[in-house]
Amino acid sequence: MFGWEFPPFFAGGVGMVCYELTKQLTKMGIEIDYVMPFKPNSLRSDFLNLLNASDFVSREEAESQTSINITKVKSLLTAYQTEEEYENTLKTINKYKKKGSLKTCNDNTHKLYGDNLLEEINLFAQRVSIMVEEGLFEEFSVIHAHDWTTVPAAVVVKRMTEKPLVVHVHITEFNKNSGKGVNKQIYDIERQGFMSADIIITVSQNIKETLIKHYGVPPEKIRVVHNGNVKMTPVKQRDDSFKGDNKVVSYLGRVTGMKNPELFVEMAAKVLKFHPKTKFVMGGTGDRLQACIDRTKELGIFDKFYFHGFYNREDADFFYDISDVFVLPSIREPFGVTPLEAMCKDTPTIVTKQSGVAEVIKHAFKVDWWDVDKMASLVISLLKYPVLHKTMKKFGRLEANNLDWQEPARKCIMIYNELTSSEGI
Amino acid sequence: MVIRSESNNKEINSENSYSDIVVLEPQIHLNNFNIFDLGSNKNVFNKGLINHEIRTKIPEKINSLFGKSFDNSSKKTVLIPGFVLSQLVSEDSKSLDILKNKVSDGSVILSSAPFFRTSSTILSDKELKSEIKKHESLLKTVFGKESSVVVLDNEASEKLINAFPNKKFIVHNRLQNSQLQNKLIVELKKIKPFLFDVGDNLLINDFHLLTNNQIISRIDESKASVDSSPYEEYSAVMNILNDFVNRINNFKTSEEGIVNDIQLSESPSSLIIQ
Repeated sequence: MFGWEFPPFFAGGVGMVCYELTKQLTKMGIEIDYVMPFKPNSLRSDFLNLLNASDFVSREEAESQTSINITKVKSLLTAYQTEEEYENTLKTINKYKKKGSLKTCNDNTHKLYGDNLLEEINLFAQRVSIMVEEGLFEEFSVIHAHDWTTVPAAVVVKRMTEKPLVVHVHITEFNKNSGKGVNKQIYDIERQGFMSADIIITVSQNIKETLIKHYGVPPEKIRVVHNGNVKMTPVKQRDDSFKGDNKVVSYLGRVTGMKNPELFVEMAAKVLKFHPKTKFVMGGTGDRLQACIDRTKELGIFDKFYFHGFYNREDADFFYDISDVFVLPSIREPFGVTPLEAMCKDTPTIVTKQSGVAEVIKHAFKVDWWDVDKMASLVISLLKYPVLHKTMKKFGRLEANNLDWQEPARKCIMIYNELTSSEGI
Repeated sequence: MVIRSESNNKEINSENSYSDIVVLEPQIHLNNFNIFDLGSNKNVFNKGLINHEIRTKIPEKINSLFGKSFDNSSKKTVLIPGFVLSQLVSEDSKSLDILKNKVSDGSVILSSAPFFRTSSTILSDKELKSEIKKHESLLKTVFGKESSVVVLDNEASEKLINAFPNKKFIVHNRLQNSQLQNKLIVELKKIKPFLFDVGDNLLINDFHLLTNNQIISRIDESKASVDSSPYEEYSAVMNILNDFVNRINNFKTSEEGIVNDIQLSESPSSLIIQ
């Protein structure tokens, strides 16, 4: 299995998805070598064999772990990063390097990883091809690649070994750059992956349609496998001075155009007219964060907002716990696991009809991404009608807790079986 | 318009059971009513419950329902709610003619129900009686016959059964008494007398449709599906009730020239100016 990230070192939700999926797959008897572009030394997995493509993890070390291998090559890239964002990251790192304050970045960074995202991805593919040549992989039956960043590497392995390839699509360039046009090179890599794949897994019907419409993929090649969810326990009655006797409405996710954070701000202004004792949390960072902050100032509701910036697991848990309503206003969302987490944490949730998660959940409000009045109306209803709040809370948690990873893993195994039986293995 | 066979029916005053009652019922859709529409006099329901497009399909549906396989030995019990029948009378003679033929040749047994199919939990025995009688008199005017069956969605009291000695009562238990339904019914009951006091016919009509068992039965959390959310319906109905209360208050205060701020409450009835 080829992945770009693995917890706790990840930027987007894909790392978490890979973790849960591989964990469940190994429980069901599948042995996995997880190959990554870079693996920090501290990264360990007790169920995967993590393989590091950059400095080839020694055989002894890999074998000392149990059934799953993870491999990672050093990289500044993350699966959800746009090229523009990547360049910004690189500039920042180089700036700090000049000042000598970034100890973690050694002098070989440039030689190792190239100046841009595409070079890094190709480098990953080259390294993997060497690994195949040198016989560093154990005998395997199926190649499973997550998203476009791992496509060149996976395609190389498919060509060299003639093993069946499954491309698992969590997001596409069309979803990522919604309304901004697409990067031709990334599109080409994605398309190459989709054409080379024997079967494509998409995390929602929504993505499946994108693939058919924009990439010309034959529908019979695509299987929809919705993500599962991790069980969490709500810890209500957290002592929090920020909340006080206010209600809290939260937004957690990257603050980028696709996630529609500006609409959340507009919605907040409308909610406050009917329910002034409300506070809003915006967790996450991204290119629209400053615009959101500016807009709250324009609307005169800056004091009602808390912009947390980057958040970790612990922060997220805290925000879910203190929230009365969770909103996911995304214009397009390949899947969107945060609403499920919120539901587990006893927080009634509003999602957009355009998000993949809306295809699987029943006990949540669903609105169009542009319908700010309706979104605000539903938030106010949840705050003003306690019976509604209580009922949604109860059924939402039951539902989210029932969506585990067994079903997605079972579907993946069915796909593996389908491929291996047709290959005659 | 939905022509639906309702099963799970229970007959109260006889040992027979009715497995099939055909109900001609338009799907009642609440307009997209949200909090920002409060006090704007926006129509709560789609105008014209049966629109032109649907109306053209009714004769076809009725024909297919009472088609070739239908013979007199398997009589069907048909319920045409009062508000549907009155609309058919004024706008759709074709469908009505087919139904009249079926009734006159005895292949259809007419049944009655509260005129608006108002949920019987909202109405008292006296009100139920007058609603059923209203429906009966319309049936008699249109078909020249009275019904022999009364369909209710909750258990009927003995007093009500005695009021219609020659009729069978069939209970279709549609309400599951979910938490949301219960809360809503409490509020509807509390607001009702105030609405009738004000005497605005349009408002009363809307109230009757709002309490239609079709709407209340949709507000059931156990019936949630990926496509339809009972919570959304509950939220819309509660907003409408808040709007009703706002209008009631405006009626009361208009003489004194007081304009009230629009308020919103979990218990709209508590906002009514006494």
